[in-house]
Amino acid sequence: MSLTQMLKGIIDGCLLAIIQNGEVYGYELAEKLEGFGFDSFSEGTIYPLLLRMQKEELVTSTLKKSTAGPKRKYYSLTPKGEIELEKFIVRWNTLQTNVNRVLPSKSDIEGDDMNE
Amino acid sequence: MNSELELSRKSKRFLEDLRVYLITSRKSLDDVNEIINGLENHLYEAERNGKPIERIVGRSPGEYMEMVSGELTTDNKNWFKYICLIIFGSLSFMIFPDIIIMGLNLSYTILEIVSRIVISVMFILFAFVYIKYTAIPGHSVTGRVILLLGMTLLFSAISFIMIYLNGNIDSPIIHFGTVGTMIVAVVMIIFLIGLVVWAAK
Repeated sequence: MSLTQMLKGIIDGCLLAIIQNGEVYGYELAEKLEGFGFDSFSEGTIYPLLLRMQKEELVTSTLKKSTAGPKRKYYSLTPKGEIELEKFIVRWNTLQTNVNRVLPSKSDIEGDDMNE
Repeated sequence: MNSELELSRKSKRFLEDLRVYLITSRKSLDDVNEIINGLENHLYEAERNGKPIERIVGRSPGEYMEMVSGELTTDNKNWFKYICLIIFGSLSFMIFPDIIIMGLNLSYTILEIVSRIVISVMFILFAFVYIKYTAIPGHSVTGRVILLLGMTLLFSAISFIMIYLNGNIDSPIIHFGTVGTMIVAVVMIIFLIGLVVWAAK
């Protein structure tokens, strides 16, 4: 399975979490994602996701003037988006715990190698 | 697209191709504009910061287009409206010369009407397939030529079959009569005026 496939579904929650920290515009949002380690992610991928989240009323947007070029569209979280983020965090914690239980830890693998 | 933004030729070409691809994938025009505007501003800022377009849309622009298309809902209702307008428009262009030739005594066989509609639908379908195919970067010129040639041959064959059937099969004739022809003419004129006003908006 490719990283892109694994990221599907997770990236929505990450976008909501970044937007919750303060309103951001598209380019800034992509830069922040990259800063968190999502560097193999094509930046343009966020726009259809943001559009869908706007339609689902999870985020709202406002156009603001920029000194560096065209008007920027800033995204902020709606109350519905806050609830969705909370749900995502719960789901993610459960998923993470379960996956970690299934996968052998690094020390287990090293221990097996030593025994062989 | 925002004409004030100075983008590289590669980025401009990509945005134009993406717009065509999404429109021919029956996506809502509002959604298409929203995506294109967001991406255009992003590319503008990325180019100012020295980022290559591949960083924004990935190494395969075709895959990116498919991904965007997959995320957007299909607007069949709206596109059905456009297709009806195109079919109705093409029928009106068929009817006006016939009124001039036949006078106020318009008549068509049912097969003739059906074949005109089938040919119009096929033309729209083929045009959409070809335009969508050419919008995806990476498709070879040979592939485009083969597709165009194949569709032209198929379209011609079906058109000839329709013309042959019309000439050789007896099908019920609809006579519009004087009043019917006048009503058809008036409806067509109102439709065409409405279409011109709508298109100019």
